[in-house]
Amino acid sequence: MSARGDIAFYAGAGIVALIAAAGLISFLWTPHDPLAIDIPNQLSEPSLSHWLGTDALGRDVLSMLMAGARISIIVAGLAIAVAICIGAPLGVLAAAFLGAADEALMRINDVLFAIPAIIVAILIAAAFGPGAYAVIIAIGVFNIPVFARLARSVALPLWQAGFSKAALLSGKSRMRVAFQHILPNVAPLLAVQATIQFSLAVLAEAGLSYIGLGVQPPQPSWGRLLAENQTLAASAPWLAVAPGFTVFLFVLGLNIMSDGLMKRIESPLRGAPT
Amino acid sequence: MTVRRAIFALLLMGLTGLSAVSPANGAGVLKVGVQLEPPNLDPTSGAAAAIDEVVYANVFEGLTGMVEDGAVEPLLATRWTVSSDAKRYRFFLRTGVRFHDGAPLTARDVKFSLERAGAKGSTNAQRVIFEKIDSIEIIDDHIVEITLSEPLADFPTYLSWGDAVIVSESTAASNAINPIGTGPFQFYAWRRGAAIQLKRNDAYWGPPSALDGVQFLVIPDPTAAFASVMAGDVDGFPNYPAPENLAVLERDDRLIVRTGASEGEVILAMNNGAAPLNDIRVRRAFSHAIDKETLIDGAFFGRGTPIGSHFPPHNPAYLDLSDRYPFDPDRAKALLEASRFDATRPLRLAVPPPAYARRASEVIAAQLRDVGVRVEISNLEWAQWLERVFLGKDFELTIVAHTEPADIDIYARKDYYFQYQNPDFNALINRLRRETDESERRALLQTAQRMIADDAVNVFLASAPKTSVWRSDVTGVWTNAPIQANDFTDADVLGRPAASLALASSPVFPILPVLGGAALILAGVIGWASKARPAYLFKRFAIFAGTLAAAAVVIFVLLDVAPGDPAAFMMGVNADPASIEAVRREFGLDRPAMERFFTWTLGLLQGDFGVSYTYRAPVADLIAERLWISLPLAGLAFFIAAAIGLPTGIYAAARRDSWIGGAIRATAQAGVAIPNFWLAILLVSVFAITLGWISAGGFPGWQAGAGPALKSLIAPAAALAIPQAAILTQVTRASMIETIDTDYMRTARAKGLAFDAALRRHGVRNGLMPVLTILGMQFSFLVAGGVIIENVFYLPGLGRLVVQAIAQRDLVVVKGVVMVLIAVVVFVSFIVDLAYAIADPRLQRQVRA
Repeated sequence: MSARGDIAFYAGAGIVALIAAAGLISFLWTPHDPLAIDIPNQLSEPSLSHWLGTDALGRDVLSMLMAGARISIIVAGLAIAVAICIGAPLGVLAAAFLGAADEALMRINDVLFAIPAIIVAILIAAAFGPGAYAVIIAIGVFNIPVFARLARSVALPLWQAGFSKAALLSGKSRMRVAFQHILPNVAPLLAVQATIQFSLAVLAEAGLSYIGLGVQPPQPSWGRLLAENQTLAASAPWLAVAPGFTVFLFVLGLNIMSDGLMKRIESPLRGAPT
Repeated sequence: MTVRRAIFALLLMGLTGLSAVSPANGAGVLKVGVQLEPPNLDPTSGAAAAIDEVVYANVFEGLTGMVEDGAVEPLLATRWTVSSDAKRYRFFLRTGVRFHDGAPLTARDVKFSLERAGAKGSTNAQRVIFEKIDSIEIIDDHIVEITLSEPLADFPTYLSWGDAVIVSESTAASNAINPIGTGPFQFYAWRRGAAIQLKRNDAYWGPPSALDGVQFLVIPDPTAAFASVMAGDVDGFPNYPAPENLAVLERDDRLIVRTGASEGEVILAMNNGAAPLNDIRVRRAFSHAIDKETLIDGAFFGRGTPIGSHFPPHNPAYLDLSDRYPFDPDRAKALLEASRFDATRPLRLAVPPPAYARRASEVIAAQLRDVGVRVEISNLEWAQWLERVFLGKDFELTIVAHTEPADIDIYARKDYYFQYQNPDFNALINRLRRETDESERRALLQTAQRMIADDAVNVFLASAPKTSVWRSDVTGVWTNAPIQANDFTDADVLGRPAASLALASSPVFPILPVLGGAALILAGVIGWASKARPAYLFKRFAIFAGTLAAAAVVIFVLLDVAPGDPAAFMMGVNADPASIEAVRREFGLDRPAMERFFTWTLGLLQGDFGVSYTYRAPVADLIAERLWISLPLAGLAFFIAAAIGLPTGIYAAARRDSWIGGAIRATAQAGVAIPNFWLAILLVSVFAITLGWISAGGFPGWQAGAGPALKSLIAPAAALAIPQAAILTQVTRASMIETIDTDYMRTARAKGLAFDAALRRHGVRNGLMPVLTILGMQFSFLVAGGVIIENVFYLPGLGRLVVQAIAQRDLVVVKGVVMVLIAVVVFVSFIVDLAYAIADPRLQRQVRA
């Protein structure tokens, strides 16, 4: 990996770490209470006491962004975790047994993958009402095939490798080999893919909250912050710029970081015997 | 070649659809922004205020009418007499009045209209009042005598409401979609989700309107409302929904902001029927705990008057009780303590959708927290609110504005949602109903106000003003709102030349059958051209059809268990349960689930998506109308994304080591990370609001010509396309780099081809193969992403339709739209699969093996 690539990787990781830390710290401390309403100070411009200004109810924008970070990370993280926990074993099993089950699984995958998360979110929100869980399920369902496909395609050649043949010869069942030997070898690539999907999930969460299908108030969320304040874009531009830019920065950081991770992981894998 | 011809044919079909359009709107048309689209246009069928806002006084008229200061004046009746016991009324009808279909107005129409409103199974929201009519006698063609079963001194006032307008027997059934009244304007066209158009009634009995017509533009979003006023897309809003930026509008001399009186009382309603709020000490504590001034500043941006009872301040009988419970947290705490209030249990505050309610809920939660009361906010859509709070009474606190005039009698209603019961108050209201003497009535009304204030039934928060914004050349519009209506009888647009009205309804092109046919043709053509094996084609098609079937099952199962009663929503706040039951039967909502499923799926196969609960129009037509916006939007975005993404990707690969290559890479990296709706907001605020180059949103309709229509799609398409273009650039670049490094490229160069020539001849075609899948997926995502972007630009496409339908519990529409979205997405991946089969015959063998 080139030095330039390294710098980019660390820059990306730095942005991600900064925002994640802000989200973590928000559990303990924010400059102001993100829910505290302070009508006399409504719509104040960025200042020393309110670095990013206040919204229409006088709430501190920076504090809300910090609290929003944790929602964003939790929702996106849970969605991806759900997707990996279901998708990866399915993919590994499909590669282990092939045949009709594999075919059926991959067809279902194709179908799920074809349906954008927002349509699932609309359905769930229409049926059970909007909320964080709707977003988690919608993004999670959409991502299952991503991990299933990846796990399957990485696992397939591994069955030809010496270690898995040896394990089979020693009398272990295919199921056992799949989980004991194949899955651990698939994990690193899954991890990299997870960062990529995580960044997409952050974007999706923001979009769904924006149209009101995500986390409900007063719980701060980046997408809803933007939705609530865009009427004020003309008179209080900081309200429209700050949340959007935060989403942008976070996603950018994640993307740069996953690019770097991909490169690091690819080089050893390329030389590996398959 | 065949493929190309097929595409050409498709394009042609599209163009013939577009050529059925006519020129732009006339200038003498008043363009009015409204926040809520009426579910239908029959004011006698439900309580939705949005219906009255369009048709009251404009299309339909009653025997009496309400004028701007709240007085009741003769309208279709020129005068009336009343018996001394307030039970017998005789109305003398105006002569020479004709309905819009040419039929003359007679006493028979009056008898029909009022009897219909009070009939068993009537869905009229004020049926309770019309049921008190004992008999209606036709004295002659223009005199009717109405006998009531009990005295009603306010009867002429009730007759001035939208629920009591006079309709013609021959057209009453179709008034929901094609209203025929006697008013100064007649119904012209309705583009659902976008606009309702009225044109001048030249045969009006009074002086004809100075306007050529009125166009109501549905703009639900406060941001969009602001943008549309700034961009001049509308002439004004009778009820401007975004108080937060009124200050900006007031500074603009193209506009006039007027603040008038309204009948709206915003209250924090409390469930008097259940613990802990059945305890008067707790209710009084809450009344002391809320600081109304702060609340008005926070939720209404200072535009509101504190009130102390359920009565509007502009009314002569108003009694100022706003200081009955002064803001005093300590007293509130003491009262709570005295009542042994359990502070560990949170109270549920149910909040309906309007922005003021959402803001007020947060302020109230904070103020109650200060006196030790925990509040859990749950934001509900109107349908859920009606079902859970209004009908189910399953709530502790809720915030709502009561906008009906003279509605203090709701406190005497049995089983009303806040469950106040006081026999003394009921007796008072009964006396009031009989009393005809003005000063006596005033005294009774004041006693009533004081009684509910003393009982602290609800926390009476504020009288919300009617804030209207109009362009300065608009005259003759209401400043006050004695009734929720917009009477444009006297409205005029000065200094604008009258032009002939050239409004046209959107051409409803049978897009669904066309798409279905195109799918089959395209599949056949591609299958033939690729010499694909029938087995392969069949398998692909089976997957396509199987997916749609599975989707139908999932959609139905999910949405059939959904809470929220569409019938309750349609009928509105004041509806009685029997009317709601009638609507439920009308739409078959009382049938068993299996039966509904088969009706629905069989319908789908025939292109029949059912009938929308709210629009009362075929869902297939609604979707077809919307597809004309959503598909061009996705198509345009797709074109922009491809036009930017492919060339820059190839270029960046070819020059990967130069600084340009690096710059493209970095830009693409950034582009991928931009949330498209944020980009959209930025585009609106820079190019529409600040610079005024583009329209801030909305859609003029294809009949306004392809130019204006495309112009309004360009910014949303760009917002959708730019992040996708960035992704495309990245994928193309990566794929091309792989291709450049292949052996055949090296061979091509070794035989003497220049690098660029080798790339053109051999590289591009091969390198773009993997990009094909991405392109197919991107189209799906552009269709889906449109759902969000349409909401930023208030484009009346599928996305707006589905988000509105969710809010209105119009699940038939949600089911239909999701089905169509999935069909489009699955169809595109079907086509991509087939395209692959052409490009790479190995694939078919692989699948067969």
